[in-house]
Amino acid sequence: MNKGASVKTSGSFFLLSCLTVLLLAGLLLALGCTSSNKPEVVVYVSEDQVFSEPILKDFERETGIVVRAVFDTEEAKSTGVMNRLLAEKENPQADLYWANEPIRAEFLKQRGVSAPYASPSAEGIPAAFKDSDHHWTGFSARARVLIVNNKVSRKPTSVVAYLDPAFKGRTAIANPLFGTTTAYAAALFSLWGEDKMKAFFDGMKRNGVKITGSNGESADLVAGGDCDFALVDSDDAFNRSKQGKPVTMVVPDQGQREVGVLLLPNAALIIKGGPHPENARRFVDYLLSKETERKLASADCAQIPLHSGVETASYVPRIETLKLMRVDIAGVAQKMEAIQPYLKSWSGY
Amino acid sequence: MSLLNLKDITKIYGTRKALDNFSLKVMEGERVALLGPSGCGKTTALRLLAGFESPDRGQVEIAGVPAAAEGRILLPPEARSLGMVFQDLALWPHFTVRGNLEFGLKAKGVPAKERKARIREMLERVELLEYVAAKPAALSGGQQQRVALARALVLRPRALLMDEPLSSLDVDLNRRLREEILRLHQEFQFALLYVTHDRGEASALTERVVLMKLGQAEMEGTPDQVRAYLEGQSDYRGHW
Amino acid sequence: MGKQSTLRVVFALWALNALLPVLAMIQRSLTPGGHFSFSAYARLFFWAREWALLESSLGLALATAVVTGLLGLALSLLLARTDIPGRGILSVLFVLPLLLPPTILAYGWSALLERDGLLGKICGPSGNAFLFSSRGGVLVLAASFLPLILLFTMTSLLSANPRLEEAARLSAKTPRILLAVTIPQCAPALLTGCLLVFCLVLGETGAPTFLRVNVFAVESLAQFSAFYDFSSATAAATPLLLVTLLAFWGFHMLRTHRAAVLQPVPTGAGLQRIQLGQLRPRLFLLVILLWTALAGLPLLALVIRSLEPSAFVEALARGGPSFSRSLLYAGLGATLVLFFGFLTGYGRANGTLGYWAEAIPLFLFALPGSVLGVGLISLWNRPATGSIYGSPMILLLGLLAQYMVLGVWVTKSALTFIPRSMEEAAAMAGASSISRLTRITIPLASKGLVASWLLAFIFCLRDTGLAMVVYPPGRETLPVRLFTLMANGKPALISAFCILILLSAAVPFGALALLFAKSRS
Repeated sequence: MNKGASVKTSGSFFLLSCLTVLLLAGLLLALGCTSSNKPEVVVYVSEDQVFSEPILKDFERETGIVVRAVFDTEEAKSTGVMNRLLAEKENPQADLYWANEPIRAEFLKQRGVSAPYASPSAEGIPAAFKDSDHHWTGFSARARVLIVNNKVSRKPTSVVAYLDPAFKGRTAIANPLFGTTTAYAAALFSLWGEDKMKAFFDGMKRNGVKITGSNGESADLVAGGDCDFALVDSDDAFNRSKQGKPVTMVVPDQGQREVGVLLLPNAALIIKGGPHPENARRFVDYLLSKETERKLASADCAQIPLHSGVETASYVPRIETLKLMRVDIAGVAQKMEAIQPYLKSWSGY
Repeated sequence: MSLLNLKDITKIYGTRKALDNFSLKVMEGERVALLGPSGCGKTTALRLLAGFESPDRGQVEIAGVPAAAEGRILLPPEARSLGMVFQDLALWPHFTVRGNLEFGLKAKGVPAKERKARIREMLERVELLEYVAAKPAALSGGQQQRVALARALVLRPRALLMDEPLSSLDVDLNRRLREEILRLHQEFQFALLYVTHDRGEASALTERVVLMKLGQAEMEGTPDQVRAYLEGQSDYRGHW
Repeated sequence: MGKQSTLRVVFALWALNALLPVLAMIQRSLTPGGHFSFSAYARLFFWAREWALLESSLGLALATAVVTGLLGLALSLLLARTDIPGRGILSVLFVLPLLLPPTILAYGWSALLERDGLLGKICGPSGNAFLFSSRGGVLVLAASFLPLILLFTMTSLLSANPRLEEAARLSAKTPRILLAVTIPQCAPALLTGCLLVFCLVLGETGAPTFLRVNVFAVESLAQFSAFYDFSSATAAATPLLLVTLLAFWGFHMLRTHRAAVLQPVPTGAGLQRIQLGQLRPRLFLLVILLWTALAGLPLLALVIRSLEPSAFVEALARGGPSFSRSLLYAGLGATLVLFFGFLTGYGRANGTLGYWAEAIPLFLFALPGSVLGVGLISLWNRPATGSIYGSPMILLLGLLAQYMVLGVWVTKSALTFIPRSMEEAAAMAGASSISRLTRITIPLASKGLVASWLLAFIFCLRDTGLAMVVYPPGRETLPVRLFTLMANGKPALISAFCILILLSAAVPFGALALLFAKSRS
């Protein structure tokens, strides 16, 4: 009887298991650490990948800096890059954030996630679209527009059409707790004051507005004929139009006494403590350039350049021709937190 | 010194006492049967000796060395140098006959040349040399029994434990295999502990019978003594 | 260290990996604003909307489980036990949807029913209204998860003991035998499949979001994106987890946890095929129509939509690296699931590990991937563990946590069919624990292990919720790429991507089908 052998053999089970686990772990780490010696920059992007990715690829090609990106998804209800940025705050992985509207950027600044950077490319961008402390800078804007089904004979020209009984039960709006609709609600709050804004939203609800999960969903409802019109971003409207859907884009509230259209630019901000700060700054300079704005204007998103003198197609509205909503982005961002309890109950949360 | 020793063993499964203060000694070269109806604890006794279970009370010794005590297995099955033929034979279906016999020899570190010789010798003994490359599924019931026997004996164990190995065989095959077992015992002189519910088998194969009932040894003696005892029982119905 | 201790240590390692992120989330949810508070949980009880949503989720999950259970049973009987023609092909066709995230099927249905879609022109607005409702949700999720029921139930039927039916045939006719013998035999496998479907639907977010069905999992995740409130989001996920645990406990109490083995036994064992006679052509047609309705039409809509010359080229250009990455991550994830799942299943089969070794993996399976993802970030995103967090390993750890149950259940079932005397005989022959495991147990269970790996591979490949949250920058998987492109991506491009995902899963799936076919021949 070999008692020693039995001790050895039962120990070998444990040893073999350990070795296998270590081998797997080693393989995985090696997999992770296959970083090349090339310079790189890590970008978190909320702008639709279909539009933003070509810009990233161009930057990569022109500078030789590898861009590693995390993109957001269509559904506002999914955990997007904002949450990653907040969750990673103590140990940032991202170098910069390409926000699809400035309110998010302001929010991150207020939470201490961003670092200031005054990019030379920001020269020429109106002050209203830049953070005074240089934490974020706007570029290539979308307008909050109305997408209208072509079957509608009397097309709405203002957001107050949401209260028009003629459109009862035939309108849609993306949930104001998410994305650019939040910004719009906060902008109205800023302009009209609390009472008027609440009256407007309550009126919308009484008039049977459908609350959707996203601007894309709203646009689809209108394109499909389930709704007459909806407040969406201009790229959602352009997109449906380009797909041949029977819709028209209306820039709302351009009348003399009307509030004007809310312009929401993209925003670039550097993440505090990011791993590649120098490359991040180079990328911000690239993003804010006139050339990038030209590309985004000529893409299907047809975004409105903030620099003057950028060559665009005729169907892209020029900022000079629009009556803009006069709001201070920082103020709007602060208002967002204040109106959140009301919007929660309005949405049914 | 006894080769196999169960000392005052109690084994409980749930609320059922499979063995109740049971003791058994098997000497080297001895042939002993554990005889009794289903549920009397004979298979449990075998499994304790093999090292698959530990006693709740009492001690198991193999050649004087403590192998298991209360709740603990001190010597695992692979270190006890015992052979076993299971009730379901447990032939490995993915190995050939050769593979089944070779497995244990390889585990014990026997060199290739010696392995080959021993396998050949054993298969000749059980008259299955021509089936060396066959898979167990291709063999008849009787042939599978012989492979199981050969697999246990090729390792030259000091004792062979058999758990009702012939229960599913017809009369002729049963008789032939009994003769086989006796012949191999004559040659290899292993101790034999044979579990059965069949009095005829117990009588033919062993020199001492332990009659078990409800986890205890009711009576122990030569096959003749056990027969006389049983015939004296008021509930005795069968014939020896 | 002995075998039993090793098995316990291996399971404990897995449990640590899986539960620490969850505990990190729970800890965070109990300390909003840095001090201890039950407020996030207390709010749950007073929030009427929450209970309404939970009811809606339970309804959707139950309805899907029942529909798939009934359909699955009928189909399994037809395909496994009758002489219906084209059984092999039909089996493959019905299992196809499992390869895709449910959102893709939903997308296919919407392409079918939109105004200009194949059926949209016939059904009009009512078709769309049906799809974008809870009924549509049941349709899409049933089509997506029916394959699970089929896999478990068909295998159980194929490996049944023929003697039981033969004994019944001496005194009863086929319908009675089916009811009294055949169906009860496969009931444990069927119920296992139904439980898995129930849990999957409870945690599913993609398809319900797309179909605008308000379910609990989606709404609780809204806490993240709307309020960036991790505490409330974790608290909101709790009812889902409690329901899962309850379901498993009930299941366990019924002692019906012996899942079917995915290791088919050769049918030379003598199972008789039921002759359908005159019903044969009609039933065949019915089955074809069923597949067309559930999966054929939406897949066809996707194919048609993707038939633009540039769509596939652009999809490959955009998705090429993601394609190979997805296969690699899924392969590694499945290997990890198999390793830990096999040892845990082995521990369950031989009694070393208790009930919790199955309950905890099931609990993780039902957890929405994004909740687990944020937990992983909380746990691993620290300077000391940055090399893990910034690498694909974080995704692999998440996949291991989420899909372990597949490894445990399938391998445990495979092992249950191996008599313990096989290992005991090897022990008597002097083999060590390792030798017994590697030379006896694993070879005998090999088909089950391969099936377990393939099933885990499919789930890892189609994973979206978890991957979206933790994928390392620049290393997204194919399903993630699809969802990020869905925002304003051209329909043709999105459809082409869907087809690519289907094809990428087709290879291992084809291997699985071959495995079954070979075993049955």
